[in-house]
Amino acid sequence: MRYLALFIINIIVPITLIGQEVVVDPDDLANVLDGDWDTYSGDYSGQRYSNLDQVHKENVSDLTLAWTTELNFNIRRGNIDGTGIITKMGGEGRGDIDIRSGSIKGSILEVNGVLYVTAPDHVWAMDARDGSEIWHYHWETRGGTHIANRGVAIWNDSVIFETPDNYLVSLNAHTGEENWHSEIAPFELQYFSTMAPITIRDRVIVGTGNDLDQPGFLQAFDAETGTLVWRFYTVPMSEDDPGIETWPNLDAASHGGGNAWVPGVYDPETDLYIFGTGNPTPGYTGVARRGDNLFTCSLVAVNVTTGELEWYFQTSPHDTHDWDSAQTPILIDGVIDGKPRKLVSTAARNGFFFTVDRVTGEHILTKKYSRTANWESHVRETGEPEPNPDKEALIPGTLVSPVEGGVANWQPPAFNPEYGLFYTQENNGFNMLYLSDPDPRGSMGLGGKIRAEVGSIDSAFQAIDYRTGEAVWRHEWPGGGGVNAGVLTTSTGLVFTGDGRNNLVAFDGSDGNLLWHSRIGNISNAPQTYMVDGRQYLLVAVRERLFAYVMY
Amino acid sequence: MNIIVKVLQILLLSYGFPIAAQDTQPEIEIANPSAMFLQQQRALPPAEVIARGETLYQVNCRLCHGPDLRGGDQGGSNLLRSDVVLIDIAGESIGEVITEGRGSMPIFDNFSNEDIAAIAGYIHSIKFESEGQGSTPPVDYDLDILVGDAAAGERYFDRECATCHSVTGDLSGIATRIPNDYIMQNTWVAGGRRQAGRGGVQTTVIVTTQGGETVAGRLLRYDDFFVSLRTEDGTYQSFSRRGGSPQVDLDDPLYRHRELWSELRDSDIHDVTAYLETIK
Repeated sequence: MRYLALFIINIIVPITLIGQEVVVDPDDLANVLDGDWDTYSGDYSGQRYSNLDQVHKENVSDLTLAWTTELNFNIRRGNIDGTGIITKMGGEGRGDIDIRSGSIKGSILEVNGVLYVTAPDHVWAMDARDGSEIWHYHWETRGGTHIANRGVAIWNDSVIFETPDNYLVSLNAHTGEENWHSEIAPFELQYFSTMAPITIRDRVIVGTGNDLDQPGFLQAFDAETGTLVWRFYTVPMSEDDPGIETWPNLDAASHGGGNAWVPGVYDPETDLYIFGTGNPTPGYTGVARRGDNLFTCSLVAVNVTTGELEWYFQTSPHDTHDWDSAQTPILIDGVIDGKPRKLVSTAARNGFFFTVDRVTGEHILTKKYSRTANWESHVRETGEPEPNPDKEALIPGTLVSPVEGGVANWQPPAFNPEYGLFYTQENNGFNMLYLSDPDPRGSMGLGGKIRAEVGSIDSAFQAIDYRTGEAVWRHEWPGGGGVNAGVLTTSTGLVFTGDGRNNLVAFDGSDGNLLWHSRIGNISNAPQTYMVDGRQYLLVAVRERLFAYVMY
Repeated sequence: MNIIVKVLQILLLSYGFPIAAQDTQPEIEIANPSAMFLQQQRALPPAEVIARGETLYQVNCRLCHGPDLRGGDQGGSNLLRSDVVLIDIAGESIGEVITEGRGSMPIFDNFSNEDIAAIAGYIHSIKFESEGQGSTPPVDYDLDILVGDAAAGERYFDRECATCHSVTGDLSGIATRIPNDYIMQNTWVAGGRRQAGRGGVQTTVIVTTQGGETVAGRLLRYDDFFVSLRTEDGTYQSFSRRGGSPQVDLDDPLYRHRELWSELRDSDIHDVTAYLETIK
């Protein structure tokens, strides 16, 4: 019962809105990233490599701030602020909870001059030319972990997003009116949902999070109706399921975590959705889940039509440090040993870089990209780093690198196919970890440990050769402190990211020379770019504020 | 697995999740709407009901599910992460398992509805105390982190630390000044009472301009484009940087600690902590 393939007969007649142009034809989502940014990574590849070329190495320093605007969280029930915006309301909550957690920590989609911006329980449509609000939607929540929202998906005329209390909501992209909402995970079991859905054909790929030892799963919903098509559990849910041999028993496996909370990538040629899974649970106490704990902390390829597992590669067997491997991987059409190969690479939270054959899952490369990661005893012949049990949380304390947030986290990396370079942050830091709950039954969730931050050293930004895992160039951040900032790269060889010292920066992607910076605060997402009215914009968020630069 | 069971499971799972079907779903009363999850939002029954439930639980359920509800020697499940408990409102789901059994759990037919509601209320009252990120309710162990060899720690200290530190100088009375063992260990490993690089110890800087002029002071802010400092007389100065110019030389007193983190063995840490604990 591992794979649930539900073929639900669609009896609802689609209603066509006459006179409204289709915002995004789902077939166009497979296109390369150019004028519009119409899915989480800009296109399905995860490369965040834009073909827009108005901004290049010679003129990047001429970028001008076109506009900046702060998100307006106010629930506007009448035209009191003079903008004409009345908040569209939805939700299953009682209206007595207002958890404002506003940072923009995901992708902003841009289509036909309209931006779709999210925070937990909120969606705004804005004019991409000047940041003016077009509509605002607010979801009245039942509660749940309001840590982030990673953005909307677009499908024809609808925008679709997840809520912290586990609903998938479809809105009319033109008006913000709700089309439908569907429950995607039980709030009662303390799931919470942040992922940006990914639309593929007529399906919406959906992921969820959980900290209470519940099983992780990926789901596909019908984009038109919101009905479930299939559900893929990332851990064994019956004695017959694959991977059960890597758990001591079914109770441990089916409480084993492995949540899918960051968007993956899609390969249309093989119809495979490839994503990273989260950490096993309980997170820090592995005593009652001895074994590799498949398919947690793995790269997993699932067939989008059937919802069945095609292949997996585990990037962190038996994790005991909360180091999810959920990072968005990147599809690379490359050359290995003189032969063209279809590849996928990921820079994992645990400090290791991996390249894998994306058709078969065959392991190609494992290379440590952190200078300080100290938790592994060796790398197995099959490519998985072997955890050193002496670096788990122990009663007298262990000095562990990286820190809980990892060498990288959800903030997406980028890849320039012309240079063959994979761009990622490298956060190097240490924690003292103590076991505070030595119970042989294991603790629960992320409990059972005491964690103390020690400090950071030699943190950097890297351009990694996907074939060797070696940094072709590496820029060490002044002072050595770490950075959490996503990455954008362009066909003109630029790389945009944050420096963790309140600057948005542009590198020459070939050699790591810094070309431009703007001190706007630490960026809370990845820079993005789009074209409107023949002009290229660079868009980035600093918590609740958007900054749009333009090349005039 | 036979196909009919499979189809049934698919149908059950296709609408919502494996939640027991109920004829009449009790209303849930919300007491703390701003709590994150339902288990902390919900109102609890009166204290006397919970106390009665506790007694019933500890007599009838404890052997299998444990005194702390986290599972016991007889193989009972951990109730604090159990679907049945998490979806239960007022004993309707928990009661179904009590009266009908489930898996290896036998049927209990000796409880009244009030008994079941009291047991459920007690279980919910424990779940209510759970901490964030899925943690258990607080557990209290008397754990001793002082496992190191103080003599070996002293040898390590003399070899690696004595260049900058002295147990009769800057570290005199350290164990008295920092009575908590954990904080003591974290503090010396990090290199100060406050975290390294966050103002606990001051980094000094020398900026050398292209003309060869040098300005020295306490480092304020430093990135690839800018450096600022305060000189000894309190003057604020800042410089734009481009391509590594002007030259910036930092003197970070904690740099040796930062390097040490990659070299320190955990046994060295425990030994040195044991030694420093003798410096009263």
